[in-house]
Amino acid sequence: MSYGLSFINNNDKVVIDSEFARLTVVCSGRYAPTQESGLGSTTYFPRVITSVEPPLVFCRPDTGGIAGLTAMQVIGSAGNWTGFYVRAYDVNTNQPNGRYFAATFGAQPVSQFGLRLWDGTTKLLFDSGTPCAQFTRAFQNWNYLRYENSATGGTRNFYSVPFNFPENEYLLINTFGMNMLTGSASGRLVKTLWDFNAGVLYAVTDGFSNPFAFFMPAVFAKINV
Amino acid sequence: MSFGMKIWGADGALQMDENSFTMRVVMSTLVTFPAAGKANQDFSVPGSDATNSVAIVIPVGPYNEGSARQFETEMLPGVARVYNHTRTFAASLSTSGTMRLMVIRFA
Repeated sequence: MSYGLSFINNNDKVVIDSEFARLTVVCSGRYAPTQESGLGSTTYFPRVITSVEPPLVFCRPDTGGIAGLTAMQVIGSAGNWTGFYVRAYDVNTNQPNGRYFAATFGAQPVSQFGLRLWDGTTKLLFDSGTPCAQFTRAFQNWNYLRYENSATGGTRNFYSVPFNFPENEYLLINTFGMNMLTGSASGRLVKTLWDFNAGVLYAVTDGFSNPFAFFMPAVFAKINV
Repeated sequence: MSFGMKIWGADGALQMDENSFTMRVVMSTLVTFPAAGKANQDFSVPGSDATNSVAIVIPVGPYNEGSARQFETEMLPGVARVYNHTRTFAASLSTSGTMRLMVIRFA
């Protein structure tokens, strides 16, 4: 980098510079049941998200009992993302209530004051009104724990990562949407399950001919310091 | 704080300080498998590996819940590899279509 701004933290990592886009929080709020007898939740963003890529949505179910999320879809199209849909784990778990934030790589010019930063091609990288999401932890894979047979004859596999449910840490849920592959055409559902009672965060896959092999990273982030 | 930078939002919340870690995108690209035969594709991401980056694939937009199937990723030294099947599982079916690959670097 030959010009511009570079901000380095106490661990000697570059936090912001005028070269690379950071994951920035475009909007945040709550999601709540809206449909499907309280199992489904559609949330509209308070402002349209104008990135080409769908925003990354991070969720933090409300603490208590057992919560879960699956079937996530971002609503809209490139340059015009308007909201997201998510569904509860099943009828026996909490309804979808919690906090979310939506983030993109690159900022949106929403602030009336503060700091705004562009790269060499005039792409807006930072704006005080769309703060950077803070990285907290990530895992390349979830660790297999156990399986159970489901009522339909499929198998349900449980995986976990080390997580102690801080109130301000959110899980990336875009990956908990589309079915994953199995040996069967119907594939496997992928869900997150937040067992606040046991203090365990699971990823659960459910399907026929469902392998133990499960390759999906887990990414956690928070909004503020 | 003896040096560095802090940024607050309009709500008064401290958004960033000298201990913050951010995430940057080192790659964002569409990945297409035109046919469903088992295959994988490599994407060069210099400097990234499993200790400092994750590779994720996300749908490019709304999708058909009944028929759409995810690709899968593997973060290797300098390479993000995308599979259209579940590696190590011989019986895995495979899929075609387009998803977005993002490599997120966090360290």
